[in-house]
Amino acid sequence: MTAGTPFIAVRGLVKRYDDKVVLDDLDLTVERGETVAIIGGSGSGKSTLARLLVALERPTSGSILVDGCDITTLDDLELATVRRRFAMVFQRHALLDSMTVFDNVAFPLREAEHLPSSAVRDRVERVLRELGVDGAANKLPGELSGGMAKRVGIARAMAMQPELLVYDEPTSGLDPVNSRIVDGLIERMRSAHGVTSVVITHDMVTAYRISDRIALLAKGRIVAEGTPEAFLMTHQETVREFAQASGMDVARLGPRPGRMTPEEVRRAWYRAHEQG
Amino acid sequence: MQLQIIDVAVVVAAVFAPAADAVSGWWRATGRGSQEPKPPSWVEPKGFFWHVGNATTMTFGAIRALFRRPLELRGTIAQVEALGVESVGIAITTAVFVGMVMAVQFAYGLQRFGGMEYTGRIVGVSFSRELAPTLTAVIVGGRMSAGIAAEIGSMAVTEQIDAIRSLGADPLKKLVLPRILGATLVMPVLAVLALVTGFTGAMWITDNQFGIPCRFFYQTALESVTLGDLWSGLIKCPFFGAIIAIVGCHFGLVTRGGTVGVGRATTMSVVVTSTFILISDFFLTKVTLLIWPS
Ligand SMILES: Nc1ncnc2c1ncn2[C@@H]1O[C@H](COP(=O)(O)OP(=O)(O)O)[C@@H](O)[C@H]1O
Ligand SMILES: [Mg+2]
Repeated sequence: MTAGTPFIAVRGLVKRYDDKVVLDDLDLTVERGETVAIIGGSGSGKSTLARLLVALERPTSGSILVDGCDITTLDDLELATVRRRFAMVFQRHALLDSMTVFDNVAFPLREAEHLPSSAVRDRVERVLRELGVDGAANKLPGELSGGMAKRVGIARAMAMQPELLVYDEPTSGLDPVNSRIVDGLIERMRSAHGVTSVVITHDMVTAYRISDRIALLAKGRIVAEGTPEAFLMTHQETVREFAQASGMDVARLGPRPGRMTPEEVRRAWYRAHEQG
Repeated sequence: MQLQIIDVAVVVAAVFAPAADAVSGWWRATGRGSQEPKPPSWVEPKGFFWHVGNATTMTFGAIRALFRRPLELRGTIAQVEALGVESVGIAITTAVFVGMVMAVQFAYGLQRFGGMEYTGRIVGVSFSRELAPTLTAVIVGGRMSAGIAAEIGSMAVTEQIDAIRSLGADPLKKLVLPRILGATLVMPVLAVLALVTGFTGAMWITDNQFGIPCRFFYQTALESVTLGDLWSGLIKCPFFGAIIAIVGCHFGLVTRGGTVGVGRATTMSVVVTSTFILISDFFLTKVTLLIWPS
């Protein structure tokens, strides 16, 4: 990785389903250690963008550069290796409902990393404890509340120790209290593990609290982008709609909680991975 | 072998059944301009090739996954268990009743020509050549492939398939391969069960209602059923099993559009499975006649 090369650079991304254009010439850059929030209305293509970012789908055209290497030209096997560096927290948590919480979190470790079972057990117990769901290890996903399922989804993604974590609407379907708890967890994953995050959301409160940068997705491309403060000031019209829909009063917004800078997060990442 | 009128009839039926489905599908779709993403209809030429292409790619992917470590032995055994256990009851019940109906009909029909003592032979031959494998496949297969499509379809619409992929595993290896292997292994066993129980039912009812002793029924049947008859029936079973699992997995994997989509996938897989089993039965029968000529 050379200095100046962004971690993720999306260039001219187009995604079409039959004749329906979902993403149209989209550009986006994500630096290491950053948390980027992407907001947009339903059906604007947020989930599609998320799936393209974690290489679950291939774009119609355009490129996604990871550390300067275009992942859209890789074959399936190479893509599977790249996919292992990324993780996604799915909107509907997507826990495998035939398995217990423990097995769900252990799944990527057994499937992709082929760790010995004692190492799997240690790692799973550690992430479950960190996300406060160690008591639910033997439950099935169907027995969990929405908030718990979301935490287990984050735990499963974190078990892979990903470089990039993409959250698809992490607070949708949660009550305000649980939403703020999830905000806190996203922030914690970043500060404790140095993971770079892309948070897809239509919740302005979440976007404001946890991100270094907010980008607005509309008509298939990023139409506005900036730091949370700048974003709220310069694009009042479109932004107010989202803010109101999220029950947020832009005029009376308090100061944002103190956060680590991307540079500090980057250092935390390297520290964590030198030890591990 | 020459092309015969029956070959033409089968092809016509194969075209007509989907066409009938298309008409009813069009009827249901009118007035509903849904924007939900959903797989193309399998009865339109373009959609049909889309489905065939996808199912073929899926099958080859699963076969390729067979040669990658680790073997999904545990998953396969679980599928044998699940598919087998859920099907044994229905396979046996239908076989017994079909056996009894066949026996009564033949005994009654043959009685008129004074040939009632041939009942055992006819039931034996028809059961081992055709009824045990095909009838079991059609009846049990609809249930199996619907179950597979519903399970995998639910996983698809709740993003579980995507989750498996994003966690570094291959759904073809984790989900599709064990089901294909499981169904392929289970079908011959079910067919043998159906043969035994169906034949027993036939034997019992003819003894009871037509006074043909079980011993006689059994011995005449044994005289006339050749090893070729048994093999030409049994050989079809793995193919039927593979069709059942492939159709179910395919319609499951391409499910879109929430719970409605799962319902659609389930019904489609039932229709397609039974159609394909009967069509392939026709061609498999021709092949078996080449291998074991009478
Ligand atoms: N597999 C697909 N096939 C066809 N259309 C799709 C598919 N996936 C998504 N779409 C369409 O793309 C648009 C954007 O979807 P999505 O990315 O899920 O939006 P969002 O997450 O912002 O609500 C929607 O109109 C949806 O119907
Ligand atoms: Mg979405």
